[in-house]
Amino acid sequence: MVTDTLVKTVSNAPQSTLPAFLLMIWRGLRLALITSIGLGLGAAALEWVLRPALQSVNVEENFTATLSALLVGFLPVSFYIAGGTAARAGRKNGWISALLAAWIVACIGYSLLTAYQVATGTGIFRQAPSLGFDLRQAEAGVEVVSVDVGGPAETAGLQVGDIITALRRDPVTADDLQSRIAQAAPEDAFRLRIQRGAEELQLTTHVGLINQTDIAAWGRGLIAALVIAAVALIIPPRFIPHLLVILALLPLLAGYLWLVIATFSQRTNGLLPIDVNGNIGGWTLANWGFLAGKNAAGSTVNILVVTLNSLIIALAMTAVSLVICSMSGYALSRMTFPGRRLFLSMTLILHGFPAVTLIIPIFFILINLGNIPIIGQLIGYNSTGGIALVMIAFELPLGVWLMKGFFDNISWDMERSALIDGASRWRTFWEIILPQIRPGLLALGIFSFIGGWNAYLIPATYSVGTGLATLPVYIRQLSGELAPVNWNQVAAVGLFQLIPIFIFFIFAQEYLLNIYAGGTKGSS
Amino acid sequence: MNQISVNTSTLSANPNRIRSRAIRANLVAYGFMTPAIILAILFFVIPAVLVVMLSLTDLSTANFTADISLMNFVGLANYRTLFADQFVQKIFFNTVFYVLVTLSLFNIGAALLVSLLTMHVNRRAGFIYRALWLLPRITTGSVYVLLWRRIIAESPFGILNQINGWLGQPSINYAAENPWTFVILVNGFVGLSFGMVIFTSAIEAIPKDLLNASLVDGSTLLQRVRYVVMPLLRWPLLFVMTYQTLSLLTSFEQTLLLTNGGPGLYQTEVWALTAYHRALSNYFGNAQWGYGSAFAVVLVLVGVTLAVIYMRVFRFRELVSEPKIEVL
Repeated sequence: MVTDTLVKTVSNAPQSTLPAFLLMIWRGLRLALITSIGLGLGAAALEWVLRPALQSVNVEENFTATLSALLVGFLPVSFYIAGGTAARAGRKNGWISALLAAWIVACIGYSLLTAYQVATGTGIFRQAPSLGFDLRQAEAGVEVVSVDVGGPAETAGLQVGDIITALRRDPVTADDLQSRIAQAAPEDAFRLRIQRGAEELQLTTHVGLINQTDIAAWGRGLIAALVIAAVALIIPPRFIPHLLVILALLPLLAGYLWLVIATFSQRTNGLLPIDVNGNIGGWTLANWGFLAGKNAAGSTVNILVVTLNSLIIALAMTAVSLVICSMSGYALSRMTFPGRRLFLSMTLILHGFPAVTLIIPIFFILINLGNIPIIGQLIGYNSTGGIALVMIAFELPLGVWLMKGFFDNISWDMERSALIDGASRWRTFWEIILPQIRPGLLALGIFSFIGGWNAYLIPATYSVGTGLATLPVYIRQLSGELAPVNWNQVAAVGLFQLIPIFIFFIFAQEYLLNIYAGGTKGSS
Repeated sequence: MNQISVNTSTLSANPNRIRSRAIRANLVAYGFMTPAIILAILFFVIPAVLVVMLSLTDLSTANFTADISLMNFVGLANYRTLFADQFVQKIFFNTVFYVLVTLSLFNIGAALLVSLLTMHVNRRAGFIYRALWLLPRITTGSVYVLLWRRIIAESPFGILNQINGWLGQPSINYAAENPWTFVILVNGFVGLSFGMVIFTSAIEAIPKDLLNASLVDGSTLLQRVRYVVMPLLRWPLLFVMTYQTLSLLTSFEQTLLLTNGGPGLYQTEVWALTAYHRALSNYFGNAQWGYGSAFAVVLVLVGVTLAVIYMRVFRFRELVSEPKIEVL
């Protein structure tokens, strides 16, 4: 019996590899097909449902077109990846056969793509409108360098050495003519005025379609397909989440990288620092001259005032928010009084309510507050106090809710004994309770500080002139569209503004992550 | 128990004293609440009433006054103008398009994807990725938009066009040709982190036994996501959806800084931005506070309604819990 099975297994082994190999290919194709159908349906929904619907209501957008182009562009790639993924299970039976299976699926995908491009005359196999000649810009006009045999130009009678002086009656340059031909439809007529030796004549040619097949590009595409399939086969599955997240983060990372590079260079092309002559290099500290009161162009900036404005608003917001929010959070958490339920539901509703919709009437509130004698100057329209007050108010619902949550979570034994010992409510709050919710105060404090330090919309709306400009407003003014912008200067101020944010970011990520989700985690 | 016995003993001793004590306790409570109440009345209650009143006036730069009694009330004229405005339909559908696409692709779709992905890597790395996604939210709008403007700038300055150049592609003026794509990206990258944090903590709260059981049953990753994770994420999903719909409807800072409603005629103008433009930042120097308020009132109504609805649905149980310490 045992030998029987052994013999069977041995004799089966060579036969079973072929079905296993075919199975890998079949699985790869199935996976690719499913993904392609998904992508295709997505693109079709975008192209034939969403886009016409948006067009019918006058929304001018290219977003659906961009997205569907991305989906369609990913179609062949899905074949390569599917081939590699499906073959992964077969790696333990032999790397070579797994790689072969992955490549076969990838090649099927690539040949489908090629067939599609040949059939429709797109991509690598596109047919471009052409007149069948090569041109060069000469002094007298556009010189014909060579004429394709049998091309439209030869049919019309153009010869090498002819000088094209005008298209119809308009003088024309080589670049202009080329681009007109590229945009022309087949059979469009081009009436060319030509200087041949001393003789001047006029010829009419009709645009034909010429295959511009790029075999080198086809080869590169094939290699890319094979590489993608191989990578999909080899890459360990645990790297895939890393890969996807980093890929999605790339624009952000590139943006921040640009900010840092631009700050220390004279100019930037993309992510490359360049000097005034256009060579790579040109590192400089001139952009940081604004700290000493001079910007890169040499004019004075009052960065100290701007920074102080930002700092005052941020610190005022932090201090006042902490006091007000912890007081009312405490009352809502620990006291019963008529109207408590009303206040709580108000807090909750305002927590969800977008305060920014009230930006217009608050303009009038601030103007009227400014008319109050004595303190009006401090809290009215166009004053730091007014701006800070509005921002504190906008943050109030979140802060109160957050603080209430922190108070709810601490034990009330110490508080009770303090009250029984005859301490007043205020003293209990100030000396017993507040020290216990230090993490909550820290979280709300950081949140308020960042809010105040980053404020753009409120200061920009409720102040006039530059006297009260905060750093974000100042950065916006620097990067306005009216004057030529020194982007590297703007980048330096931007990075300067980001320094405290980065410090908080490095040391308090956990608080930030919780609180920016509306404090839902801090409160429960 | 203890408390009740204390109360009853004092009650039997002196009813007047206990009543005055209760009044004093109430006063103390209101004392704690006063600053918050004043701010809420000044910057929420009065403005909410005021915006409706302003929308019934023809207040503009020409007849500006901060005194309500001097304002010229014109009834519903602003609303009639609003509905007759030839661009209102476009702005309305712009807003619908913007909210739906950004919400589904980024604030929910990408947020869910990022939280699922970052939970499948080791804890430390996942935490770092999530923290990095927070950067757009804590970067001030003008710097954040500056970064994006450099990403999409024309050749040779833009980063995208530098890549295009390496690939032999022509330079594209993205800001002019594809403004909506970048309005959605810029806002989506900011909005993503909210859902990401909520979904992450919700997924973390899923009992490991459930996942293990499904693993034993031989489920694939997709099946686990579909049949174990998603049903348990129903409430967080609904919460993020309603909350973010509201913030997308009303936030306009990034759009203001990136395109300011352009580059075409009202091409990327959304409803909230229109209210801002009409009332506070008009191209022609003629601020129409009355007309702008009419736009704002629509948003305020939507905001209040949605806020009431979802706070009723999501937070009501926490709301009704009574405080732990009674009057002592």
